[in-house]
Amino acid sequence: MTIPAKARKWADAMSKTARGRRIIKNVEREQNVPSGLARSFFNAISRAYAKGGDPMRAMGKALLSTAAFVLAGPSFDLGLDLLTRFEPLARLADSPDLKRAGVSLQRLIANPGLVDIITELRLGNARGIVWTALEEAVSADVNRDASIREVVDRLGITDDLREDMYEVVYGAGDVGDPCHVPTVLDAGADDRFRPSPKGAKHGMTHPCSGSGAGYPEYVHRECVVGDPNVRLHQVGAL
Amino acid sequence: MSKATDTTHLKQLLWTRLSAHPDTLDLDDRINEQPEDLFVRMATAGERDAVVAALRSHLVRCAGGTVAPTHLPRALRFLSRAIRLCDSLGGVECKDALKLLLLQEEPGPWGEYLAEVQELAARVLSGLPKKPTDLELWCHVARACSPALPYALNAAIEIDVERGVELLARTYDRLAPRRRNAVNWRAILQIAATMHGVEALGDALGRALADKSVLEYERFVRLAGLPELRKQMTVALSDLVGYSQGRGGDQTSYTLGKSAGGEYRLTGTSAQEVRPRTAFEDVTGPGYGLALPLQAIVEQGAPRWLNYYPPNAGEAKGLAHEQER
Repeated sequence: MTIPAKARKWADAMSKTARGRRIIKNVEREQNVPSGLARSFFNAISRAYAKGGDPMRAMGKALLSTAAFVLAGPSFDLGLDLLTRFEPLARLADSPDLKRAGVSLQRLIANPGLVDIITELRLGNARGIVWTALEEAVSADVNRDASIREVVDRLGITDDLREDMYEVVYGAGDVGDPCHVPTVLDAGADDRFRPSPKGAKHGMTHPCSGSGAGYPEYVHRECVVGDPNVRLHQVGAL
Repeated sequence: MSKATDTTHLKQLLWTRLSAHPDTLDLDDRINEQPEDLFVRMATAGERDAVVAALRSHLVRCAGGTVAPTHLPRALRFLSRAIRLCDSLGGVECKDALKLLLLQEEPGPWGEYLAEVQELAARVLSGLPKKPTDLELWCHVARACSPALPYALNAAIEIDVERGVELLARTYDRLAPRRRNAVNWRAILQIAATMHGVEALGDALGRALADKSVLEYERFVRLAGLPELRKQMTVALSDLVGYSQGRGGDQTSYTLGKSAGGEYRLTGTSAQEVRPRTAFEDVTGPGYGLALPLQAIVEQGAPRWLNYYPPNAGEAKGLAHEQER
């Protein structure tokens, strides 16, 4: 996307920090957002930034201003492919099923078998987006005994993992919606994201450590996964 | 940046965040650095005690009502993160602060969100090390029947299986059927079985239901989904033994005993008619009941039927002519 003159002030303000510069670079490299939508995005961002304040926050406000900025990349029907997500174990304790059973995080850590209580998992962040990777690629690493730290690094989550994680594996068909190539509009101020080239069939995660390859990734709409396949990966206490 | 400088910087940030008025906190986790990250980075930089002390101080302020946020959802998000961090850090030092939050009865500054705060506080508190003296707290929480109830039951059972199971049975009876759905009773009983063993759980259940009918026990056995618990029924049934035999028409009836809930009778027209049944198999005779597990009855050669008759149900079931021998 080419940053227009009206959004230049915002881009300059962002460029004052290293993180901001990385985000601006992502914005400039993005090729999978339709031009009309890109114009709307820059209009929204210049309006938000004109009111003053933090440029990161202005970007956030702009992204939240319309639902059209979500899942704007090319879409694909992945058929029977499996998808996988990794999240901190602490978030699993928010599952309604575990709440009804009174399972605390510490109890879950002590007794990982309690994940069997979970009958459904709700996926999706505050913007209703689910970031996901192709399970086949991740499991190939797991099967060659890659550590959870390596996998989480390659997923672009963190290169300094210090908390237990859980993985949920589900079918692309369970989502009920196609999967999309992620764009900078999905990633927002997440500077770990890297845009895909035009015509790409999927995104790629970017290892936080900067070394090695990532995994094919997609975004899709928030959904509920019934009878989920949940695996716990422990790395020890904080 | 050296580790020492980094820690100082983090400390400043942390204290600024924790001591600021909640409305001034910038907590948009989609855009800005999460306060949670600050805690985690500090904790991993060897500052766990400082983080836990800061969390505790913040929780006490929240519980004491000295935080009076005008932007409640934002303050709530921050408080939720602080409570969650206690969990991740195993912040046993925050127990008293969490208890304060849990015992708060007036909505105070948290208004409609109090139940949400208390559920989270209960979740974290129930995962921290417990003392026998904590039992009263959990009984109190269970009586309040708030969303914290499942955590209260689990914690109470962990501390004292007998009192915990008794609390569970009482709470189950007290709740209207619709409200029972808020708790996964089966999961809680199965966790109890894992923690203390099926035998101890069965003993505790037998004692908790000592003044109830056998069917009450059976109901909890089904609720728990633990068939092994049925073995414990012999303990409960043994209190009822001391049966008498009666004859009415062509029916033979053995009254095993009486309880407030009615009578347990062994009935059948002839030995041939009474199908051999394995112990504890459900009976599909008149009314409803249970097959007998009692060796004593088997030795007497009595028909293996045990039927439950509610009080004054005999006449209605055509057993008016039954005579006690």
